[in-house]
Amino acid sequence: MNAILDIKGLRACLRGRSENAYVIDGLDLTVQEGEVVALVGESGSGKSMTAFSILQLLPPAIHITDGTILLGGHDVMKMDVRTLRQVRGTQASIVFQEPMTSLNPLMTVERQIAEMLLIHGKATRRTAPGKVIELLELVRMPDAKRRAKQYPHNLSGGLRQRAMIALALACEPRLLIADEPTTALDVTIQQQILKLLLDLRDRLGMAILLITHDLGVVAEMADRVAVMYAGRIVEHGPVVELLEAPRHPYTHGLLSCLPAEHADPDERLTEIPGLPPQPGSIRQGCPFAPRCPRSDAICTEVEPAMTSDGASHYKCHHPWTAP
Amino acid sequence: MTDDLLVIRDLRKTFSTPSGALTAVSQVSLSIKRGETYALAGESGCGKSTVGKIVAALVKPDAGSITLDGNDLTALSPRQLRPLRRKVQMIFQDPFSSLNPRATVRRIIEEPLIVHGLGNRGERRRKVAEMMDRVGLRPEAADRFPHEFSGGQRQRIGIARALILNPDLVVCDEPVSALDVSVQAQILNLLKDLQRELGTAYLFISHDLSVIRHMADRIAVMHLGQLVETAPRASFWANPTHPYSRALIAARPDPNPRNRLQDKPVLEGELPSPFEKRKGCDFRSRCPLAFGLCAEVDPPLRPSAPDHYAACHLVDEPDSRNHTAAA
Amino acid sequence: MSAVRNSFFRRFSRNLPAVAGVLLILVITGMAIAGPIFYPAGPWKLVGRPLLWPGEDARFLLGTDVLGRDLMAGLLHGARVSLMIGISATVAATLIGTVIGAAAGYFGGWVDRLLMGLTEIFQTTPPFVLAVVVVAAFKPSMASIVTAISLVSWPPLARLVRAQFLQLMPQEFVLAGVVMGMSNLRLIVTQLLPNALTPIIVSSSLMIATAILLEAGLSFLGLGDPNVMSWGYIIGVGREVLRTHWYIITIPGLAVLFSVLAINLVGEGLNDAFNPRSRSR
Repeated sequence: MNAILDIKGLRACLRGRSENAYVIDGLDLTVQEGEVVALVGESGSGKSMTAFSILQLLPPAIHITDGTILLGGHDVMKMDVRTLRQVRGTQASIVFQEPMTSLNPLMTVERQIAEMLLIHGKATRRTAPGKVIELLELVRMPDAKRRAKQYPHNLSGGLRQRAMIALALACEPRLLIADEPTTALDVTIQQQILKLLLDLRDRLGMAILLITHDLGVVAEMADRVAVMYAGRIVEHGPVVELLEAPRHPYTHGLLSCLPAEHADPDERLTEIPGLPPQPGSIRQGCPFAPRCPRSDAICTEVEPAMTSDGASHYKCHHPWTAP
Repeated sequence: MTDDLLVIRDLRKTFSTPSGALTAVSQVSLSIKRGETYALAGESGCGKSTVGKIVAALVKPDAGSITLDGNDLTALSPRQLRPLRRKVQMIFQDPFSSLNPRATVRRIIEEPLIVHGLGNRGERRRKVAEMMDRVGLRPEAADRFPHEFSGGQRQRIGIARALILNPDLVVCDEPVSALDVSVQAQILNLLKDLQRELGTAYLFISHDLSVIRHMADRIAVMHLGQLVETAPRASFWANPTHPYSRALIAARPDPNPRNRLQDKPVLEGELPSPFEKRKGCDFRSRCPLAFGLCAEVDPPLRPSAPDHYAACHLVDEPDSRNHTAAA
Repeated sequence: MSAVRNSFFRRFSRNLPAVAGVLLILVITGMAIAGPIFYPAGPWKLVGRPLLWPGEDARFLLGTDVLGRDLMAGLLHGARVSLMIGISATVAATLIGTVIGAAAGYFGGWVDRLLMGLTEIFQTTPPFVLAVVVVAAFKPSMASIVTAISLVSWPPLARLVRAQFLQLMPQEFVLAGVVMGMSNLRLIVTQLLPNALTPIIVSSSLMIATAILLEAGLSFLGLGDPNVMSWGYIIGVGREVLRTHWYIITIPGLAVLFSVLAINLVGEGLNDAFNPRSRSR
C-alpha cells in the first residue's frame, strides 16, 4: 500500500506567545490510499489545526516549526504558491463543518463548482455545466438540475453539505479531509452524509481523513483511528482494537464517559476530571497525567514514547492491558 | 393527578417569517410530574425549543393552556406572572452567550435573589457561596468574570443561577450539546445529583437520544411541531413505536465498532416544507412503512401500551387487539 | 473587575496616537483653566494696537485682532467655551439618543416605528442647517447653542443603541433575565445597557469633536453667544482680514483642528482598547 499522506514529527507553534506554546507537538500520522482514518479529539486538541496544516491553510497566528508533511510523496511545506494551488483540490481537498460559511453566498452552486473545474483545467466553459450536474448526481443531490441553479441559502443544511462535498470532489482528489462534516447536522441527515462519504470512497477509491469528536461516527466509518490530546497522537490503531480494547487511559476515559446503552440510569457517568491543558502549559511528562487515574511520579517527569503492542500503538507508562 | 406539576394542553404557536407563516408547535399536550425528568427529543426545527420557551414564558403561545401548580400561566398579565417566574427557571445551550459578560460570577448567581427581593446582602452572599459549592465552583471564582472560565465551568454557573431560586421546574435546553464529551459527563452527573437533592423537575430538551436515555424518566418525540410519541422510559426503549422514533434511535451513532454504517438502514427522502399547508402524516415522505391512508389522514396520538402513545396509523390499540383476540 | 481594567489601560497606553490625543486634551484643558488666571480681565478688553502680528509686541505673544483684543486671551478663554459646549451638548445628545434608541430597540413594534420615524426626520435634515434654525429661533446663548447641537447630534446614537439592543436581546443571558422575572427597566439597566456601553462611549467621545466644530461654525456665522468669546467667534471676526492678517483665523483654526484631532485619536484609542475581538480570552 502507498501512503497518500505521511506526516512526521509535525510541530506548530502559536506566534507571539511565550516559548513552546505548541498547538501541534510532535505529530506522526499516515493515511494509506483508499483508507478512512479518523482523527479524534476534543476541542483544542489540535485536530483541526492538523487538517489545516496539510493544505497549508493555517491561520497566520500559527506557524509550523518542525516536521514534514508528504502529500502524494511531495513535501507541501517546500511547495511554492502555484504548486500548492494545484495540489489543493487535485491531491487533497477539504470539507468543513459549516457549509454555509465555506460556500460563497453570492454564487450559484453551479458557478462555484464550475469555477473549480475551470481553474484546474478539468472542464471547458462548454463541458462544465454537464460535469457539474454529474458531480451533483454523484453526491445524490435530489433534483440536481434545479438545485444547481440555486444559491447556498436556498438549500437545507444537508443539501449544502452535499454541494460542499461535490465541490471538494470536483477535481478527483486522492485524499478528502472532512473536518467535523456532520456536526452541524441532524442525526438522520448525518447518517445520509456519512454513508455518502463511504460510498464515494468505494466508488472513487479516495482516502478520507475524518476529523471528529464523536466516537459513534468513528465506530461507524473509520478503518483506523488516531486519538489526539494536547497536540499529540496518544493512541492509534485499527478501529475495532482501539474502541473495544483501548490502551491509553484517555481513550478509555472518552469511551467510558459516554452514556452506555444498557446501563442503569441511576448510575453516575464516569467523568474525566479537570480540563484539557492550554497550549504551552505542559512543560514535561505526559500531557494527560494531571487528569489520569493511573498516573504516578514517572508520568509527570517523562513523556512516554509511542509503544507498539500488536496492532495497538500508544504513548503511556501505565496502559490498560489488552484483554 | 395531584402530582402533576405542569400540564400543557393543545399548545399552538405560529411565527410569521419572511417566507410565510411557520407553525412551530401544534396540538402539543403533555404533563410533567414533580421531580421527574421529561425529555423532548427531535431534530432541529421540530419545535422542541419553542415548547421550552413557552413553558419558561419567554414566548406567548397562540392557543392552548399551560397550568403550573393549578395556575394557568397563559391567562396572566406580565405583572401577575412575575412572582410565578421563580418556579420555572431555565438552563441554556450556549455557555458563552448565556452569561452577562459584564457581571461577576457572584453577581450573576445572586441576581435572581435580588430580583425577587429575597434576603439581605449577607444572606444572599451566603446562599450564593452555598450554591457555588453545590455546583462545584471554587469560592474564589465569585469575583471573576465569565470569559475567564471554560465552557463546562460556565455551564455550572448557569446551573447555579437557575437553581438558586429553588424552582419546581427547570427547562434544560440542550444543556450539554455545546460541550466536549468528557465535560458533558460532568454536567449530566451534576444535573442528576441536584435533582436528587432538591427534587426539581426537568424539561430536558435534546437532540441526543443517548443523553436522553441516560437522563429521562419520560420521553416525548417531536416531528415538525407535533408530538409523535410519548412514553415512560422503560416502555419507550423496549418498544419504540413510531417509525420516526425508531429511525432516530437507529441513526444515533453508536460507539460499537462492529456496528458499521454500511449495514444500517438510512432514512431517505426529504422533509415537507414547514411553511406549506399539509395533509396526512408529516413523516410519510421519509417513512419506510407509509401507505395510502398516511397521505390522507393525520394520525392522532393513540395508546399502544399503558401510558404509551404514538401518532401512527400502524399502531394497534392494546384494547382493540384484546377484542379481536376475544372474538 | 481589576483584571479587566488593567488590561484595558495596558492596551490603551500602548496605543501611541491615543496617548498623544490624551496629552493634547490635557493641554487644551490646561488652557481652559489658565484663561481666567492669566487674563482675569477677560478676552473682550481692548488692550493694544489692532492687528499686531504675533511677536510684534512682546506683551501679546499671539498678536491682536481687528479691535486690538489680545488673541492669547481669546484662545485661552475660547478653549473653555469650546470644551464646555462640546461636553454638555454631547452629554445631552447621549442621554436623548440612548433613551430613544433603548426604548425603540427594547419595546419594538409601534414604539420602534414611531421613534425611528422621528429619528429619520432629524437625520434627513442637514444638521448644520437645523442647528442654525434652532439657534436663530431662540436668542443665541450658551443654552440655545447646546440645545441646538444636542438636538442635531442624537440620531446616530439612537440608531446605534437600538442596533446594539436588537443584537443583545436574543442572547441567552438576556432571556435568562426575563425568566428570572426582571422588570423591563431592570433588564435594560442591568443587562442590556452595560453591554452596549462600549460603542456608546466611543461614539460619544467622537461626538464632542463634532460639537466643537458645530459651535465654531455657528459662531463663525455670528450665531454664537455674544457674551462669550469662542474660537469660532474669533475666526468669524478675523475673516474680513483673511488676506492681510491670516494669523487671526489660523491660530483659533489650529486650536479647533488640534482639539478635534485629539478627541478623534482618543475615541479611536478607546474603540481599539475596548474591542473584545482583540482581547485575549
